[in-house]
Amino acid sequence: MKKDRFLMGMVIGIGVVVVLAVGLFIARQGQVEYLAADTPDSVVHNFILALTRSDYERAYTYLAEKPNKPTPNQFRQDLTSSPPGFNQTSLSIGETLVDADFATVQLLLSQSYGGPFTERTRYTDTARLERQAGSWKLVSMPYPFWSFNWFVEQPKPLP
Amino acid sequence: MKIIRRVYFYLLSLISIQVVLWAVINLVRTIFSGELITGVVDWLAGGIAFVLVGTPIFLMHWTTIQREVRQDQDVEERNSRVRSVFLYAALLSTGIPISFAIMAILNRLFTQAFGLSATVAVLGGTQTHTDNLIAAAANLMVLVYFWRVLKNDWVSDPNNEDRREISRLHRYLWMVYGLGLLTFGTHQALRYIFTKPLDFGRSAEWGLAAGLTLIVVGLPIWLTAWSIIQRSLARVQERQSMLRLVVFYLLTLGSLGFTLVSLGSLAANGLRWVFQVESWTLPAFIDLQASQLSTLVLMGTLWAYFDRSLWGTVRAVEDELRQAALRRIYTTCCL
Repeated sequence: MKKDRFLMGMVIGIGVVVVLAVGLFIARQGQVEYLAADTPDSVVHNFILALTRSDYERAYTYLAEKPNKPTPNQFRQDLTSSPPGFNQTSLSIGETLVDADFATVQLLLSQSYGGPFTERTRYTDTARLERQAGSWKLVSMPYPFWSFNWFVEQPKPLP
Repeated sequence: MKIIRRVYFYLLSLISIQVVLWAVINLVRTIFSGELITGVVDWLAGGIAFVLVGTPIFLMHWTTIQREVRQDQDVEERNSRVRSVFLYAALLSTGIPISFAIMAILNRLFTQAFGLSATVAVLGGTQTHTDNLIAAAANLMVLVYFWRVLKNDWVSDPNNEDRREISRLHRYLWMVYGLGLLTFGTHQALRYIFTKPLDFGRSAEWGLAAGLTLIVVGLPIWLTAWSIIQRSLARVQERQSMLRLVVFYLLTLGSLGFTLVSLGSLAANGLRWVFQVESWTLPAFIDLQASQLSTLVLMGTLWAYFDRSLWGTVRAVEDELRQAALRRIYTTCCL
């Protein structure tokens, strides 16, 4: 066994893979900071950053003022109780399209629905924003950064 | 009738020791858990009931077996194949939970180190270190007990062929188990390397944490089992064993199959890229094919290694006709 160079090579190879993966993790740890919220994409950036830092108060401030807006408590509760949560989702911000007081920001999302050993699903979605009193505010975001109960008229009980 | 009685007694012993073991583990966990007593009453009641029922059943059957082994003059009972299966199954059924407990602890630590909550850890995300240490310690105690019983059996008759066969199966099971963990773990680490990171989120790190856990536990298990297997080859029966051939055929053909499938998928997407059906850049192509690339590298290496081991085993077969037949099996499967 001591003379098995192939085996030694495999063990060394696995060691290199581990060191490389951990090294890449360290190298990828860029410090992400809040941006000036003056463009639609910077609002989306700040909203997601606030959520990933569990700063729900700050994230709530980026929501538009519209009928059926969630209360701060409902906002926090809906986001914290929604599997798979932010831990299992990665996201990149893409291009922004502005049309007068409305904007859409393209998002590239990556999720592992069945756990880390399954294939990751990559898909694009959009964040929609509206300009209110000179500031860009969020009207919708994709799951799991949003709840489908927000800004939706709740059904009234039958008389 | 004797064999049926023997199977019954060993089977009952194996089932009852597992019932008692896990009932005790759950009972001890409730002692250390910080939950209110009202929340653990059901656990306590269930645990105590299983211990009360399982312990006498285990003691009754196991003490009967051990008494018969001591009284048996011609060592038929001690050398029986059923006893060997029982003892090695007991080692396996306690050894694997120990490895899982260690993996759960490591996975939570790695998950936290990568900036994620320990509760999302794939292994043991809902458990605590105490839960896993209790399970590991309890299983270790049972493992050591049966290990000593088995050691005594080996001392009494070191050349028992039935026991050797079961021992061989046990070694190969551990080898395949360790290799499985190592393969999944390395695949995750490779996929992390090939994946382009996104601006937010840690879903890739989630997989890396699980991958590193499997490597840290799987590598020593595989290397230990593999080195024991290599040392055992001093005996001609080991070199020419059918089990060894079957395991190598499965590993070689399995890894070859995965290599070819991932290579085919990569080639198909590579051609789509070359013929400009898709407008990928090289980093985007690598990112999209991260899983297939990882499988190709990993399975290709495994195939190269076990292919060598398989042909070494085939060459050890003295009968030339049988050697030719074994080569034919491989060629036919590849075709």
